[in-house]
Amino acid sequence: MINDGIGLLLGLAPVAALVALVLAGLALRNQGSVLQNGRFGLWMFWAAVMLTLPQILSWFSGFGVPVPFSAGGGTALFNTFNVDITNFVNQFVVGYLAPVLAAWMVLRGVVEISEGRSPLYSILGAMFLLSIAATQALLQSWNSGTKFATADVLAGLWTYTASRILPVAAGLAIIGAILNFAFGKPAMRLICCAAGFLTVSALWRLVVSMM
Amino acid sequence: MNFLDGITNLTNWMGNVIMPTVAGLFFALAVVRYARGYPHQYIAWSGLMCLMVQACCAVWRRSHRNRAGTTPTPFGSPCAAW
Repeated sequence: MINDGIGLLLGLAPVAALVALVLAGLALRNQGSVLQNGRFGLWMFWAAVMLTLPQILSWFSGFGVPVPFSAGGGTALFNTFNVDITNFVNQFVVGYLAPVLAAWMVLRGVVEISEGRSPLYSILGAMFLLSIAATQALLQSWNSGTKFATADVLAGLWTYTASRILPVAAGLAIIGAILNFAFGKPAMRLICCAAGFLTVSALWRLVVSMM
Repeated sequence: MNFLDGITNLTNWMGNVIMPTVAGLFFALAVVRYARGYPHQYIAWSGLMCLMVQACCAVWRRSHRNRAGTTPTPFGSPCAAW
């Protein structure tokens, strides 16, 4: 019975990763920046952990503690519960609720413009919520299946962010800098921000070379 | 739907649609301010920079690519990095 329960929970780990990604999208809206306050990063970390939970458990075999558990299996009741929860998250939370929340975020972005604030975080949060399934597939593609899978997923996420997301974000920063210049606001900070976005990989190598 | 596609399309839309439109508004405003004898050079430069945003992005990304060789993948082999 306990083994069946553990198998059920392991089978629900990818579903928990989806829920963590939805919460990460909501946290992205509420934060002043992606890493400030840490809630977005925290939920992304938990999503990576949930996706690599079987690989994490394989560490116990290395410690001399056998872990015979595997996802799925068990009684018909547990299997039915597993399928129901999976369908609920995939069809309702990801397929229906997340797009509705994204639509509300776009509405919130319009309200933020009227309040004199930037709507960028609401727009980015909406985009993140609309791409939950693709993001989970991306995270799973970085799962190496080894005991280092969690670190591999986080490293793949870093590389993807530095090489794909940040160059595009640098373009947005340049646009923001020009608009700030036009309206008499400080623009140099965004110029430096764009330069940092484009050179984050070099900055990383610089820090490593200093050690 | 992909987050990268979304943010890329957002940047393209801002750079190719919004910024040229804003540049036109700035140029028109500069003409109006010039006709009324107000300072107009600042807003004209802003309009020019709005038109140059694509060129700025292209130059920055090209210089970045030339320095790095390819797209940065310092964690190409994560375990080997340590």
